[in-house]
Amino acid sequence: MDTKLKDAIRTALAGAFCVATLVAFSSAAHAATPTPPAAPAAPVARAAPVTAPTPAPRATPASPATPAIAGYPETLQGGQSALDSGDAASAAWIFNRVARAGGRDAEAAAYWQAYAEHRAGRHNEALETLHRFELAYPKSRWLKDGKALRVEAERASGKAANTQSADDELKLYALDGLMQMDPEKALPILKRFLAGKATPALKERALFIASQTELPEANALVLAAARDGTNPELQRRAIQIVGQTEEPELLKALREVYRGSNDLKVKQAVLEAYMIAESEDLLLEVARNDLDPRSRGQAAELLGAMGATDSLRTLYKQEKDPEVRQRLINGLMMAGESDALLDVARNDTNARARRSAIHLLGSMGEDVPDEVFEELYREAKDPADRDAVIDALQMRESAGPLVRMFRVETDPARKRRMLQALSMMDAPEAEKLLMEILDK
Amino acid sequence: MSVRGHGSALLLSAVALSAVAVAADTLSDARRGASGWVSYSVPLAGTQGPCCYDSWRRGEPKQRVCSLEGAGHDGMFGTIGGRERPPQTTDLHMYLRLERGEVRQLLAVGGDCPVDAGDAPVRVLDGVTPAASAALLLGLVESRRGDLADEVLQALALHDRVGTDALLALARDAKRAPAARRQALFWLGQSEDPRALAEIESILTR
Repeated sequence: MDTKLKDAIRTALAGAFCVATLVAFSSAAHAATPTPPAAPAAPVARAAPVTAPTPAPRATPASPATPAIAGYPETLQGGQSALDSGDAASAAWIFNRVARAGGRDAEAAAYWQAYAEHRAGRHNEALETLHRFELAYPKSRWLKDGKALRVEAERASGKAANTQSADDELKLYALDGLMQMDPEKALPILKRFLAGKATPALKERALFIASQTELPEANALVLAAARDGTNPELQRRAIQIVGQTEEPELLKALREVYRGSNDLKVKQAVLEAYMIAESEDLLLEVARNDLDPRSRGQAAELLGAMGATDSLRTLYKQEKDPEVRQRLINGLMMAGESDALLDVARNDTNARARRSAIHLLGSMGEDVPDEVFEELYREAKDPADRDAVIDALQMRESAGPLVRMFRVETDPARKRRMLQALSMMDAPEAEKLLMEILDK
Repeated sequence: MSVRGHGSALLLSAVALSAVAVAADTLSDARRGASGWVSYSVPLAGTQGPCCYDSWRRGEPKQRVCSLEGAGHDGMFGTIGGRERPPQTTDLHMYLRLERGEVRQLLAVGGDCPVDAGDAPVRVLDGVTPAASAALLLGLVESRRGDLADEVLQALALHDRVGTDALLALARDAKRAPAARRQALFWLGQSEDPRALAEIESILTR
């Protein structure tokens, strides 16, 4: 028996003990963290405002720079699964989609979106989402949880409970009251308010409320703010609101804003607005033609978040810039395109691209069967690619394939890497192999 | 006087009702030390009062009735649009569950909303003025009954004229809890009373 191998096993087992201890410790720590209340199986709308129910304000979408939502269905349960897996950003995205779709899960999803945004560290977004949730569902069974979440999110965002002046706070309430009113009556007041000297935060709120009236004059207000670079925060919020309106003419008007701006944040806001509005054509235009690879890359990932698989595949064939190609690979993963990723893993001439694809395939869970990795391992000519497959199997905690591969592998370096991976797994096949080797 | 309610005769006929008209001088007299459900009517703000809707099918509710037992109402509460609009009404029916004179539950529904009291007797009060009703509700806000806050403010908003008066007073009172002022402004936003819009505008433009 190879001495180095036995030493490696002993080291691996010692490491496994340390890892097991660390895992137990972190599990205990995790258990101390308050877990969210379980989502109801079938939430039923409990109450509605006195007047005919106002359509719920369009929820702010989750930040588009999110990891993959592949593997999680766009349902309340799908969002919960993402949360359980620690993928709060994807969960926020999913809950947002469910809330926007309306239906019986919309109310619960609206609360859970705020929760997930908070968990993802996006505390200000969580507060905004909570605010809209409270307006849309003033008698929700989730209100108490929402209030507790608000306190946490405010603390986390560095805000005290009342950092704005009392007068500003009252104005915020007044704006919310205006939101309930006849749009024809509310809009002139909002217009005057926007032209006045209110704080940017209040103006953002007023702009959002104006957009909810769906009056043509309101759209003009929003577009004017989207074009106005003198107040960058308000401008970005206005751009985001344009995305939420999904109005084709407004979205096309954002093209001029994009082309006319040198501010990367403004450009980013426009691309995100395209994604919010699911404007694949507008994003594709940027992904194809923008001279700045950063913008092309961002557009690529946003196309992935939208699931625009055909566009991604075409772009990947045409794009030459390696950084943009990397982001296209990320986009393919976000879109759940395991076949396309497999093609990259097998055939791309760029080693970094192949390894990135292998790694991302490893994160796609049951969508990619274990046999795919064994096949990739057999076919790989580059040892570093083989290492990437081993690492991917470790990430998936797939002991079976690793054991099978170990038994036929002749390269000691690969075998050691496999043993290290197996030692990190709590799997009977792994333990059996390790003991088998030690007993020889 | 029997409990009114459009289409509610079938439901309420099985209920033990105290059909004695109680000529209470004031609402507080009727409350004093009392336990059980009491009900009275005041003019409604607008023409569509809320009711309870359940068993939805193809966007239309199949059941429209509020239950006093079991925390008041399940399903959806409010006014709704749809192919069949409920009839217009000018009355707001208030139902209060008292425990030794203290209000524990509250339900405010349109005069045409069927109410199922189950086995619970409901004492009907005549002659309760809108002002007395609004004063009672404001008193509940002051007593900081957090569990009733939403129902109280909604009920105030449904009182014609005096409701707006009360909500305006709440919104203007800097000593009130922010949550109460916020809710007051929310319900003012629902109001068709021009004073509500004027108040909101004055807050925003000062």
